[in-house]
Amino acid sequence: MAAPTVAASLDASIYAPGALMILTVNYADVDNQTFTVTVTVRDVAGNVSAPVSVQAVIMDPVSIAVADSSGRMWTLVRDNGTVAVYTANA
Amino acid sequence: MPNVAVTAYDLTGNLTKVVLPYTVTAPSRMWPDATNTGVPAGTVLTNSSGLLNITVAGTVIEARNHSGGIVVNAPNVTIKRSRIRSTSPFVLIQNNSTELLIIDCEIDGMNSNTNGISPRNVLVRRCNIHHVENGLNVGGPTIVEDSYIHDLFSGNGGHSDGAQFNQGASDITFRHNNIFGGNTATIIMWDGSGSQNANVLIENNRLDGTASSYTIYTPRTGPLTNVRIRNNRFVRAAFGYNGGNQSLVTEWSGNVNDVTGAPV
Repeated sequence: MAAPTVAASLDASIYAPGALMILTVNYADVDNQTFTVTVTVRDVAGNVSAPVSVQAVIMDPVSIAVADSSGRMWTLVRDNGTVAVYTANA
Repeated sequence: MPNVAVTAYDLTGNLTKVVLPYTVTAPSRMWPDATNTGVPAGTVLTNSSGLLNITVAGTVIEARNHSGGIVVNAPNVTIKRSRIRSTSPFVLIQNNSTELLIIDCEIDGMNSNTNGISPRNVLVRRCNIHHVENGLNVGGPTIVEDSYIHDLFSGNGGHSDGAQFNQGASDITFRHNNIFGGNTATIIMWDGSGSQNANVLIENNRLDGTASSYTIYTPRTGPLTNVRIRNNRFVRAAFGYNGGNQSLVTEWSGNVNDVTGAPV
């Protein structure tokens, strides 16, 4: 299984004390795969049923962790499954 | 340089990490003072005088050198780049409506027992407030940012404070101000019984208690709801940093002595 992909950016590189900091995280996992299972039934007489197929997805959900070396608390304000936005005060 | 690390990981233990450094400018070099608050240099002011009663919504008072008090009785009023001077006995700027903005103003009580701004629904930014008994008399939702409050007047038996919070006042934020306390404190929250202050955030301020009894007064009785005092730089007052009951506040963290950096 492959590692998730993640790209993150801050809305600025320099902040005044107390200013709002916005962190945007774009993430994905390439391991999510759709597969199909096809079933047929055969009896002893050699009769074969019509094939029946079902699809499913192997999920490998991604979690995001945010840590700040200065101890600032980052608060998740939204997450749509591919983009997460956090804020903190400088 | 601090950084924020973002780690994405999946159920199978694979992970990817991104580290983003950032800079927070040193607060000690940026404190509001006479050079970066009040009327911006070069502003040409127009003289006016008398009690100014604002009754039209959306009124903008700009570039005035006004001698007298201002009473706001209409919503969404802005007062900016102006000097307001008065010995009005109660308050220089009083808001009786909603959404008053006071930006880049000098508010001078001329050594009188008055309040600079009162009482609620006000956003104050980059203002220079001085020679009043109390810089702000806070009765309700108020935001004060990047402002300089100093040289408060304690004559005639006055108990001067950078800001005093009225009983039950809530939704108050003081952020990145430089406040030199009067003879009582830089900020005094409601210290009596009954309805207490709530939803208060005091952060990243310089609170100088050199002339005060205590640098700050948090409430003495509770219960309190969401009162947070964090990451401020304190100058100790005559009797200590806090004249209130510190154990009652929701958060007291990151506060340090302005000179030594020692935790307060």
